Order: sequence, then C-alpha cells, then structure tokens
Amino acid sequence: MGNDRSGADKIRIALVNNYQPFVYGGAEFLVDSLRTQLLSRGHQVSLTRIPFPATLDHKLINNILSCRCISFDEADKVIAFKFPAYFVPHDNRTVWMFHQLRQVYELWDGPYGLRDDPKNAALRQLVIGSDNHFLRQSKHIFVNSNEVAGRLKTYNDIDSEVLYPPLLDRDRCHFKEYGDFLFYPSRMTTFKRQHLAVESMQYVSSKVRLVLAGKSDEPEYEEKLRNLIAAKKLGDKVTMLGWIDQQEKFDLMAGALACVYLPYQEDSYGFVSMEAFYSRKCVVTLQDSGGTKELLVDGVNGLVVYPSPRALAEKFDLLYENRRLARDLGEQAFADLNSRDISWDTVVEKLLK
Amino acid sequence: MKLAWFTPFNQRSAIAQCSKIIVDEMSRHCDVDLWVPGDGELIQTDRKVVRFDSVSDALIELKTYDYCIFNMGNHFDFHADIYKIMQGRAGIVILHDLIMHHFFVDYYMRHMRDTDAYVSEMERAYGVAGRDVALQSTLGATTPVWMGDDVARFPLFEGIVDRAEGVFVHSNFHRATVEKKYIGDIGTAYLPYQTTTPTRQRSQLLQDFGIAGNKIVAISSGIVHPLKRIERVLAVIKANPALAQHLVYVVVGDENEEYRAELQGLVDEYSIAESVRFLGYQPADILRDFLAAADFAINLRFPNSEGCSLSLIEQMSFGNAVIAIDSGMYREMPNTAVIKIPVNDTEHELSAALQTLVFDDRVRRHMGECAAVFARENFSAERYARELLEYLSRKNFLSTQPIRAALLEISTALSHAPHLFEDSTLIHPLIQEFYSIVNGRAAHAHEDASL
Amino acid sequence: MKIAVLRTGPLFAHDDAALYVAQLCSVLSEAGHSIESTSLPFSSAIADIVEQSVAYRLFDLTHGSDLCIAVGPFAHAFNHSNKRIWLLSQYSPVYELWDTCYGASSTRPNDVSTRDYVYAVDRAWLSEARLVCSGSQTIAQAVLNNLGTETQLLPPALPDQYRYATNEYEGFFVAAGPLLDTARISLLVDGFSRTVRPARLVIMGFVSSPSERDAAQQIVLESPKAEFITLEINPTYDRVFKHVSSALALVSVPYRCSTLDIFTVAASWSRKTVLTTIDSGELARLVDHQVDGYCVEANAVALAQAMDEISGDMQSAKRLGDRFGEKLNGMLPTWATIAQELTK
Repeated sequence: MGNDRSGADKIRIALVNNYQPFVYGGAEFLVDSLRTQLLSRGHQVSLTRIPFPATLDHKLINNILSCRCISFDEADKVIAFKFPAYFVPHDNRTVWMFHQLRQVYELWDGPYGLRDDPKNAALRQLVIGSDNHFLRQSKHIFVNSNEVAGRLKTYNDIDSEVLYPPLLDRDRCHFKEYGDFLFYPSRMTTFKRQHLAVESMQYVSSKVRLVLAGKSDEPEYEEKLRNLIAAKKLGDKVTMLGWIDQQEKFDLMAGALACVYLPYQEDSYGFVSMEAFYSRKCVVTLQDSGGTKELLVDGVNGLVVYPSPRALAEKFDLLYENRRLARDLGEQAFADLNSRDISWDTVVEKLLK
Repeated sequence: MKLAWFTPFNQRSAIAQCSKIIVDEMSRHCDVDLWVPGDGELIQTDRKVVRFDSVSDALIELKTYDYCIFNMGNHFDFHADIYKIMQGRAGIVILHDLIMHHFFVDYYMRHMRDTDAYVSEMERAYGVAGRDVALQSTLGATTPVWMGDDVARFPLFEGIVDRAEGVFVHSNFHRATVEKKYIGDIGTAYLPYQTTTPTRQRSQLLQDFGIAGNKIVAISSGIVHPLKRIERVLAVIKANPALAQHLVYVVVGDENEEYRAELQGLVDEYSIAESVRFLGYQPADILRDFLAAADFAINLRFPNSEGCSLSLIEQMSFGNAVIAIDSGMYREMPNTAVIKIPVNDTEHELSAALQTLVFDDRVRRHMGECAAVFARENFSAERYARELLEYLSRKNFLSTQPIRAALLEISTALSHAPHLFEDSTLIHPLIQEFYSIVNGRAAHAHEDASL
Repeated sequence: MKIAVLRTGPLFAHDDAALYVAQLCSVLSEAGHSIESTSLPFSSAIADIVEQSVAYRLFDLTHGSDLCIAVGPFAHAFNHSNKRIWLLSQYSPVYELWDTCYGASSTRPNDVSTRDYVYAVDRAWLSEARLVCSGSQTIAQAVLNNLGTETQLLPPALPDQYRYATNEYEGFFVAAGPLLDTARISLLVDGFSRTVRPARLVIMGFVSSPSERDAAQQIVLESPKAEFITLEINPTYDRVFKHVSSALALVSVPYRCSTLDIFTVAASWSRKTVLTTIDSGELARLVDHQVDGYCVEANAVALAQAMDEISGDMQSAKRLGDRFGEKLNGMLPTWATIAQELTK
C-alpha cells in the first residue's frame, strides 16, 4: 500500500490461499513469488491466507462457509489457489489451482486419503458438490499441471488450462559439477517419502551419498528418518541438513550428481524438479509420483523408477558409476525446460486476462 | 428402510391418535416399529411396539434402524423419555407444538431440579433477554413467563430442533417459525384425520340434544377457552335476530370454568339461549356425530400457539365450511372452504360471514364440499406418509453427522443473535450459502412452498 | 512460542493496525518467537457484519500455535484457547457513531438488531480471551460502559521505521489519514480557507475508491484557497511520515475517533503541535487546549483562528508540540513492552 495507482491497467488483486499453521512449502513460495511479480508490474496486491482446519471433518464444511462469507469486493480481481480458498466469492475470480482436497479424490480410501466410511462419504459428497458448483463460477480456471487438469476433468467434468508455475529465482540456479551425492531438497513429510530414499541407501554398492535438506512439518517423521539412518548404520552415507536457505540450496544443487524427488501422486512437477533442471541436473523420481513426470521422460532427462528402495538404489549406483549418463540426462533436462514457455510474463498475462 | 417411531401411545394423547393413523400407512412402505415410553395402557395396534425405559439399552438397539422419528409435544409426562433418547441418538423430530416452553420448565425445574439449567437454556436460545426473563420468572420477581401470553416470545423449541437430523412440522405457518432458528431442511404435511360414519342420524342427534331439526347448526369444537373468542359469535347472534331465529350455535369441548361462566352470562344477558348450546366435553363418537351433522363450523382461535389445528382439520374433514381468523394455519386454507376474518374485525365481517353461511344454502353447501375435497387430499394418511417418506429420501437431507456438527457450530455462533431471527434478512445470506454448500447448488431451503 | 497474529481489516485501504501488527510481528520475531501472521478482509458495511463475524468464528485456529493475538474488527471472534485481544478499535457504527450521521441508526430495525448482536458477541467473545488490551482510554471506557468488561490499557507506539524527528517547521499544515466521511475533510478545508495568514495545507489522504478520491479533489477545488492546498492521494508511508515530521503542525479533525491515529502519534514523536476539535474523540481527550496543543470547537471559524495563531507564533507552537510530545511519550509503551504484555 502506498503507491498512487496510475494507469488504467493497474488493478487491485487479491491473492487468496489457505495455510496450515507454520507450514511454508512450494505452494506458499509460489504465491509469494506471484505477489512479488504482480507488485513489480505496478499492481496493488493483497495476500489473504485462510486458515485450514486441523481435522478433516465438519470443520471443513464451516471452512467452506467461512470462505463464502468474507468479502473481497475491494479487489478488482481475485486469484485463488487451493481448496477451499478458491470458493471466495468474487465476480472476477480466477483460479490457478494447485490442487483440490485430494483426500476425497485420487487419494480417497487410500493410505493418504480419507477412509471410506459413512461420515467421510458425506463429506466427500459435499466437497465434490461444492467444487462442481463454485468452481464453475470462476472466470478462468488454470491448473499447474496436466495431472491436476486430468483430475479436475475426471472427477468434476471441469475444463481447465495448464499454466506452469515458473521459478522466482531461476537466475540463481547454476552448475558447478556432477559431484558424488544425490540431493533431495524438500519439506520432510510422509508425502514426500524421503524415507524411501534413505531406505534405498542400504542397498547401494557405490560410494554415492544422499543429502536431505528441508524443514520438517511432522516432527515424528523427521525422527523416523533419523532412527532409520541410525538403525541401518547409514550415518556416513546419508546427511540430514534440516532447513537451509535458498543460496545454500542452489549451491548444493550445483554440485550434486543428480536430484531426487519422490512424492506420492504429486500435483505438479514440483520446484525441486525445475531447480534441478535449470542446474543441469537430472531428477530421479518414482512411477507413482504423479505430476513430476510432466517434465520428466525416463531415460531422456531423468529416471522414473519403480517405487521400491532396491530399484532406487540401482539407479543411484547407475548415475554414480556413469557420470556421462548423469551429464547427458542433466543437459537434456536443461534444454527441455528452456524450450518450454514457462515464464512469469506468461503467467501474469494469463491470470490477469 | 427401517424406522423407529417414538410417540406417546395412550388414549389421552392426541399425538398418539395421529401416530396410529400415520404409522399404519407408513408401514405399507417401510418397516416401522413403535417405540413407546412408560408402561401404561396403549391404543390398540397391529404394529410392533417396543416399550423402553432404559436409555442405554434403547440406544444400542436403535443402531439397527435407519432413522429415529421423535414425535415431540409440549406435554412433559408424555414426551420426557423420548427427549432423553433424542439426546443420545439424533433423529427426525416431528414437532407438534409451536411452544415447547412448558416442557422445558417441567424438564429442568421439576424433573432435573436444576433452575440454572433452565436459565441457561433460555439464554442459549434468546441471549441476555431470555436469561433475564428466566431469572425474573424463577426468582418470583414477575409472574412466570410460562404462565402468561408472553411465553409465545420464548417458545423454546430450539432445544428440541438443535440436535435434530431433520424437522417435520404440520403447517407452513409452523415451518416459517421454526426455520428462523433451524438451519436445516424442514419437511411439512398437514396432520391426517380419519372421519367415521356417524353413529346416529342428524335428526336423531339433534333431537337427543334438544335442537330443532330445521335449524342451521354451527359448531365450535375443541377446548372452550378465551382464545376461541366465542363471545364475539354471541354478540353477532344477539345483534342479528334473523340469525338467532335460524341458527343454533353448538359449542362442544372441555370447558374453562371461568370462561364458560362468562359466556353463559352473555347468553343470559343477550337472551339467546334458544340459539346457543354449550355441551361441554363429549365422548369422541358424539363429537364426531356433531361434526358430521353440523352445517358449518366457527373457529376463531387467536393468537395461534398450535403448529397445526386439529379442530380445523376435524371440522373440514366432515365437510364443514369454516369461519376462521385470518392467521396461522387458517390462513393457508383455501378461500373456497374457509371464510377468513381479519383479526381486528369489529364483528362486521363475522356477521356477514355468518349470514352468508346461514342464509345462502348454495354457498354453504359448496364451501362444505370444497372443505371435504381439500381435507381428503391434504389431511390424509397417504399424503402425510408420502411427504414424510419423500423428506427422508431427499438428497439434500441434512442427516449426516459432519453436516449436523457443522450446523451445531453455526447455531452456536448465531445463538448471540436471537433477535436477528425476527427479521432473517440479516442472516439469510449465511443460510443461503450453507444450503449452496450442502446441496452443491444454489438452492432455496424450501423450494416447495405449498403443501 | 508459536504465535499466530491475526488481523482483520481492509484489503487495500490504509489501516493503522496493519502497520502496528507488522511492527509487533517484527518485535516478537526478534524476541525468538515463531510468528504466523495472517490478515483477513473486513467489510465495514453493516449488512455484512453478522455473516462476516460468523465466518471468522468458524475458522479453526485451535491448532498449531501456542498463543493467538487478534487485532482488528471482530478479530476477537476467532476461537483459540489462548487468545489475546488487542482492541485498537471497535465497530464504530454501533458504538461511538451510533445515531449520528456517520453511523447506524436506531430508526432502522436492521441496525438495531445488528447493534444488539454486536454487543452480545463482543461481550461473549471478549470474555473468552486470556487478555484484552484496549488501544486507548476511550476504547477502554467504552468497553467498560457498554459491555461491562475491564481491559488493560495498551496504546500502540509509533513503529520504528516511521520515527522521523526533525527540527524543521516548514510553513505548511499537514493532515494525513484515510479520507473517510468521518475524517471531515470538508471541515478541514473550510477551516483553512478562512485563515488570513499565509500558509499551506498538505492533505495526504488514503482512498480506497475513485469516488473517494474525486470527492476529496472536489472539496479542494471548491476552496477559495485551492492553490495553497496540496492533495496527495495514496502516498507512500515514508512520504507521509516525512511530511508530518517537517510540518508546522498536524491538523486532525475526525469525528469521535476512539484511538489516536498513527500520524498523530508520529506528529507527537516529531514534537509537532496538534490541532483538533472537541468532538474528535481520543485526541480531544488528550489535548489540553493551548497547554500542549489546540482543541477547538468543531467549526471552520474556530479552526481558522487556531491555524492563524499557530502560524503567527511558531515559538509557541513549538512549545506546545514539545509538551504534547513529552506527554505522549510518557504514555506510550515501548514495543518491547507491548510484545511482553500481549504474550505474558
């Protein structure tokens, strides 16, 4: 707030996202990046973060209702990103969907989703019905990957346009060498499955190392990883750095052999993949990692592996012992990414149309 | 579908009579078991009857039912045990009475001996105003609210519907009152009534009661109470000698002694004894015989504290045109069957209505036929069962636990605003949004405004 | 500790509370706490109050944080077991502006219903808090009178980054703040238009719509002294605070404002004299006329006379400014204290 708005094309934009307390991940970073980009283009931007409930029960219903009952009329445009923030009412609302409430869609009745019982079935019906109804009131619906577009079409019969999120600090990605470690920078959660990477290290035969970096949302999970490392005596093969700043991350990536990214049914390719590609490093991912495969083609610019520790270990050894392969995959990844139209200019133009 | 139908089921309960008719019809479409509190003598029925006295045992057995249907009325002794079950198992409440205040007075102060709980209930429902009135009533600072007309401002049905999975009422008028407080789908159907063949011919009946057979007989039935405004009818008869000559006004029902004496005084003063008969309480068969024999009915009850007027239903079911006050459920009746008098009428319109029905045979007969037709279509067990079953099966039925839990939180948040409900425009957007979310579409809560 | 700081307020329009909350978060962070700061939009339209406050109430904030500090209209609706309310304002249309031309009205049934509701929920939801602090004596008294609730006085201090102290007294009066109806720009401009001594008036106003901007511009244009009035719309904060710190005096004539606005606090920090009217609320309560400031009748003639007095005797104006600065500095806590009080 502060700059006099001059120019008819400068508007007031309300960005609306939800948040889990003290969780800051890729989605939050992306929204902050978008905010920065919009401000730099002279727009007035506010960021509203809707608190997400602790439990997936009746509080979800009230959360949706609350979103529907707060006013964004001050804004010329609303851009919303996640469930249920994208329900906020506005005549000029654009959704750039990162994901829906996955626990009632593709994760339904699975290890990461809601269990199929009468109570959850009622919630599921309500959430799907709300998505079906309120999303259609949006002026435009963008999604961050074909994966999300496919889910939206399959479950809700809603069409959308894919709009890939760019990196804010693409220029900080650089290359130094293909070193002797695999780098996995990401928030540590069961969803990101760092434990599979750690488990795989007991099967590697080469001297490849694994470096994990990132803040943990789940203290129990972080402890589980540490216990796993201790139990399998992997202390000299696996390093857990915890939270590191962006510069440290890019420096580590620049020196890594390759990057590892093993989420379960991820919505999009993930910033890890993009940062790796811009750093000329290939990415090792899993067959069930979802959106990570949007950028990645197995054997061309990365490796897509069967989700088992032994299979991962095999690929880790392969990259370590065949630096040329690591280089070729990494160079191709760099070239492939640069050939795509993924830029903030494109994003802003589309979101503001 | 398997239903547990909770109801008093003794001869003294009007709700019991209705339940019998309804359940007999419902059982043609689904399994219905009668759950009856207490151990007194019951009305005869072919349905399975479960007598319950232990709440915990009942709750275990109720798990086998798809829905529990709780018939709730203001009479504590008949409904207390049903209320206790409701607190352990949510279900559909069939709310018979507009005012449930007396039930809670008995429940909290007589049964639980917890005056504070009554005060808290009043505060929960009506905020500070309710708390203050409750305190004044319980501390003796004023006449207790439950003993005066002001009780209508504090009906206390909120404590019944708050926990309900659904609510079913018996008039649009009642529904409009409940929906100000209950954020949920409300079902509606008029109570059913079954007429019977008269036990004696009209001529015999009139002769037995000393009424000339050539008179036009107008009937008022139900408890004889000042709310019935019988004195206005007497005044009109007195002012119209021609009416007095042709009409006999028969008043049947339990009498409030004081009021009865007052009315008798007027009859004597007006010298219209030949035109008025107070029959007091009569057994059911006699009452029905009179309803069948009557030429038309007069039902000037006001204000309306009933959710549904059983007396009106009876009168129309027996093919009687009715003169009524234009309010409450009476307002919902077709003009072809019911002549509606403004509340503040100075007997001008009442006089005109009486003269029409006494002197115009054609109109009287036509209106009576219309009343009978309307009654057959709307006061039938088939219609009631159909509406109730449709309500149970509705997709937007707010029966599931998370939706109810959400509603409870919303209700709690809104409990500070009891006066807002007098004009729901301020909370209307919130309620509309809730329905949109639950229904997955922009829907009004009650799309079918007619019964 | 993990602390959730929740603010309700306008999305884009200037809001003093946003600046205070930013400072508070900074101080709390420096003290070693983890801070999650969130702001939710608030619409002041009376028709939106019930819906909005219920929406706030239904948000689930029961997890993740050890303590919650809520600031802004109906922020006390948020449910948290360890809630601290910093009441920098109340919903003025049903409080200090009730039955005035700026507020809600007893002649409108919906307004009456909303007022009753607001009183009821304020009472209920404030009573849940572990601590309720009022941002001014006026608010504290109002809460006590209207709701029977005692609060701790905790007025906000000037955020560090806006502390410009200068010894300059350039020849202009400054007025700063949102150009709402209650700011009474027309009264201010009318007053200035009647001054006889040479001076300038700089109005640094924040608007949230073109119509607010146009209305303000029209008022200025219609003034016979329009050429001596500068109207800046939505200036940067740096610019505003710098102007305040180098002005001759700050003129603030809001109608019944229950707190000191941040620009008045900034003026006192810079030892600039303050001119206000007797009906301005908290500021009128604090200013001792011709002792440490000017507090005059709410009419243009009185304002003009006061402005002429100030520009005719700058030494006196400086003395008054010094005294007001001393007074306020003695009253306002440090940010460390504020943070401590809110988290104790």
